[in-house]
Amino acid sequence: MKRFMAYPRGALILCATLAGAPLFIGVAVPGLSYAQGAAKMSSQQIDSLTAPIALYPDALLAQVLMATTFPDQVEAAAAWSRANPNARGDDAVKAVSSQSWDPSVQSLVAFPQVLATMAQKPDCVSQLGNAFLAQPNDVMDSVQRLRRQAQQAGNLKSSEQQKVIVEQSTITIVPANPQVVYVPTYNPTVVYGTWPYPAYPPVYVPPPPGYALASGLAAGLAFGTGVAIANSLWGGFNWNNHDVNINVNHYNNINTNNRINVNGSTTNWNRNANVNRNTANLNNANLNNANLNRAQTDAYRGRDASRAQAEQTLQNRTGQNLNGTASQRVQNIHQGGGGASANDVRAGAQNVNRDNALRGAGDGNAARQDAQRGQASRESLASRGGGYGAGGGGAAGGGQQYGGGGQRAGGYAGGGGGGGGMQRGGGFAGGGGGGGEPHFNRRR
Amino acid sequence: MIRFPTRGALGAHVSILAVAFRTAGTLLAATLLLLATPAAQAQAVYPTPDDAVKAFVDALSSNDHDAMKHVLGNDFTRFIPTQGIGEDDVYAFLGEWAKGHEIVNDATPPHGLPTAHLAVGTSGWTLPIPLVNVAHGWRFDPPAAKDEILTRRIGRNERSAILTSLAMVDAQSDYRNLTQHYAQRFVSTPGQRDGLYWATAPGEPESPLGPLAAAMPRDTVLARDGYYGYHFRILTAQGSHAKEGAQNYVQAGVLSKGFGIIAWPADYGKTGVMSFIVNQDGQVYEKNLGPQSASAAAALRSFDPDPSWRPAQP
Repeated sequence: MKRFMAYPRGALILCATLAGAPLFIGVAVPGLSYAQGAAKMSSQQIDSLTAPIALYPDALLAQVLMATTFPDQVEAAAAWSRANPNARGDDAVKAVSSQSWDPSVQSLVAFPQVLATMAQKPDCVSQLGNAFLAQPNDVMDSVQRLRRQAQQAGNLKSSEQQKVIVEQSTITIVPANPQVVYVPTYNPTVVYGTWPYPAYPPVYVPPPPGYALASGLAAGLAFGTGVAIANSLWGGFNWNNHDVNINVNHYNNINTNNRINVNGSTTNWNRNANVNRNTANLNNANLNNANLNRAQTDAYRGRDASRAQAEQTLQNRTGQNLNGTASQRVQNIHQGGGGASANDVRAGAQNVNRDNALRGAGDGNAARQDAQRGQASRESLASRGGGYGAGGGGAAGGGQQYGGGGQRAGGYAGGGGGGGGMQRGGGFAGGGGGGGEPHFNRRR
Repeated sequence: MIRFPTRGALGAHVSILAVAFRTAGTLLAATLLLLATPAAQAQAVYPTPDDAVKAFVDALSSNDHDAMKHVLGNDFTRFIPTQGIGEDDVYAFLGEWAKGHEIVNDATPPHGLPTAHLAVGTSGWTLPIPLVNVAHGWRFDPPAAKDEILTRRIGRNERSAILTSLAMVDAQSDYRNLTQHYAQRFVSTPGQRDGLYWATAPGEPESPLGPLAAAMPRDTVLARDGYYGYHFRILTAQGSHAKEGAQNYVQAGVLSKGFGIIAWPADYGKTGVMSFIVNQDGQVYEKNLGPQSASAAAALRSFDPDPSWRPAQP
């Protein structure tokens, strides 16, 4: 069960948040004016820009794309990396933690080869960054298009260095060992097979000196020395929803100076997280609510918001119904498609029923209403049964799963809970949920 | 799930830590063991509430289960999601913490000892794990936390049950616009549209209810825990206390004149206390049907809001 808030339409908002990205909440947004003024790039143009990096592992690619939106910082980081030729991996990232660079830029010093490559084509970096700000979905689609081409050309395969996971509409690339990352080197004019748009040849950045590899580069991917990391990669994608993600744990471990700020935009580098904070809260409170413009109760129609969102996005892009695991999809296809699998329902129900101390964080109002109604009902429960300690309190022993639960059995064992004849006790005099109005008229 | 590149990232991270420890020298390992031994037995006590919440947030943001156990005690998984379900709650919490946080002292501590809560964000949301002032400082109070969480859960589920009942009224109304009568099932039989949910192809209009309708009735294996902790059933008649008196909603085999809904807690006293009824008029009523709520709800055949039922709002 996945929960995403992707709003594919509304590019302006997307840009605003993109540029506002995780560390700079509330800071003025350079991407906005850009997006308004710039002409939309064609998919051919974007393909030519993404070609040199599309075959990077997802997490690294995510961080490279984020970093391209700070081209000046990329240059500075590349200069630092040149000046510290032995710095790589997590230690290098920690060494630059005092720099004012975006964490995505800082993270790339773990991979000197990447920075050295990017530094060779600063204009392409800034163009790609602009494209990623203005047309993030198109950039992500471009990556998938190119990966598909490379795969069909026989040049993108799982190897000792990385796993290539091919699903119906997405190709995911992850390091074979998450703690040792190999940056692939390849020639984009070859690896994708025949380049389909002669007018926009792929940007070719030859591997920088010291990273060149004799073997394998003619076609396919070549890999240099792996970089051992634990936390330097924290980016990621949800390709179906066009979300760019952050692994908070890894991120916090490496960005200790920025931990709190980063948490401010939670896990999404996502263009949605900041502007749609309220939506996020609401979604936490009830995970089915996908659309704030609809009536309050529509959130309770048993829909699975993320599934609907994923379906819609995919439908827009591919006309295919794709969600769940690959095997579930196959099963759906066999069953005629469209139906929710039992697993979907089970996961969805588990999600709405989930119970932990952090649930609803951010919605103090709902928590207060919950507590008020819960208290009133527990008083009703106590007075009705007669066997309950009112409110439970610390009386609930540590060994019990729930405060009042353990007492219930005992209380009712002698109470003989009968049918509905008993009037509710005085415990409910305060009225449920603090309302107390004689009649509740629905707001619709 | 959520925003990790891979589903198992949380677990993977832990194993990275474990590897790091394993590769450390035996001396370090022995030292750690010595340090960890008292921690494994006893929940930590901190000089101030601030120290306690800082340890909590550090453990949470680094997903350090050992540290979490130290802060919250052995039952920490009862409070903190450690698997896929609920991971987003961790991130929402950390995000709110980043916006702002403070310790709020409780005006009337329940058991004499001073207590406090951690408030995060700007909405006054408090962590339902109270801090209590014990002999040598402050610690989190897991039994009291279970109690607070129970209260919130009951409230949340009951409010959700009311809203779900109202959502079903909307869904039935949508259904009648399509078919000129109301539905008698939540989930359609395969290939039919005789219930409020049916599978739709992309691009097709959605059915009145979503796929989680399968979790709403009690009679499916999927639905053990219900929907927001509640089960639902469609009623086909109304009693003498309903507007226009007792009548059967079914005519010529279809629900043409109206419908009722009853909602009852999947686990009385734990997932909810009240039961709720509503009909096409959209006024929800509530009543505590007692520990045998499930059988009482099953026995209830008609929407009949006698004076033992009170109007309810979410």
